[in-house]
Amino acid sequence: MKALKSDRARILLADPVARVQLRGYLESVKSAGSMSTDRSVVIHVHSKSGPALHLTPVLVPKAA
Amino acid sequence: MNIAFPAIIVFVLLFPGFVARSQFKRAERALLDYSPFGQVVAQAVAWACLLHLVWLASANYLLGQRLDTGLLLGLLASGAEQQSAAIHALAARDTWLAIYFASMLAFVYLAPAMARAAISHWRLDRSSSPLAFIFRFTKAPWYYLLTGADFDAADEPDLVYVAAIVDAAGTATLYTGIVEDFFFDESGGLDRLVLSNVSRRALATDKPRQGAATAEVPDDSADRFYPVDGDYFVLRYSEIITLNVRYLKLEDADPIDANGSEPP
Repeated sequence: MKALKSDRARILLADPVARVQLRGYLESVKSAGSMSTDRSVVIHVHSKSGPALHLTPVLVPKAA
Repeated sequence: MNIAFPAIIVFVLLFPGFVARSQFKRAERALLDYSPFGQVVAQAVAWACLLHLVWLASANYLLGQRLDTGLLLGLLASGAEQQSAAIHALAARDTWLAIYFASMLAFVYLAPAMARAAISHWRLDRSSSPLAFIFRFTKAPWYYLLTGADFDAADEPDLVYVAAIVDAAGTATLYTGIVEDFFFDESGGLDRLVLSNVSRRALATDKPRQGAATAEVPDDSADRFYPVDGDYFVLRYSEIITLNVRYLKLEDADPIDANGSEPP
């Protein structure tokens, strides 16, 4: 079964540079060991099919 | 050749119930309990009874056709004479019979699947929905955990990120990655996760934060992770000791931040 992945996430993961940036963010969050509310991280995504995206990753809590 | 004709009749009558149930249910188990008084059979029989009630009422109201209970009982009887007479009487109404079962089978194949798609589309089954007690697929916990189906459409995250501790040759290793796919075993348990963008680190190599008294407080640095080569990484659930699931939302960056940190 396919896991959750939005179009925006697909575009980001298709960009190798942005993918490494995202991995770095996730590793830093994992090392910090808490729910990240830091919105200073900006990932620049170069899309082949559309305009560039500037995205801020934010961890969100599970729905109630 | 002896054929248990009444058994075939019962099967034909109940078959739409099984189809309707399987088309509607979102279950993670492949092995189901088909014992005569098991949950699956009981639900399928209930579906079949309901469908026949609706179809018989519709046939009576719209087409003027009524159920001939004598004929039905004749088909189910064990006597060859009664069965033969019932079959001949039935053959005279074969067109109505074909319409009856063809329309019912088409309905049970399409309508429950569409109802399930509608429930998922409008998220009537999410845990916070007021209709969850009716529509929630309680036999599919991993579906809700890993597809974001419990979120409102507006609040839905963009991807699911997991951190799993795996015992590899006696060494606890932390794997992190983005969940792409997940598969179940026959009993409905999670069989394996397919991850991308995977990193790993051995927990034994964790160093204490400078000045910390014990090794329990990890260093903040993310440098201890090593990227795992390859596009996809398959993690068998049976080898996972703990699994941490997190949801990540990708928000549009503030234009100032975006321009200010634009790489050259």
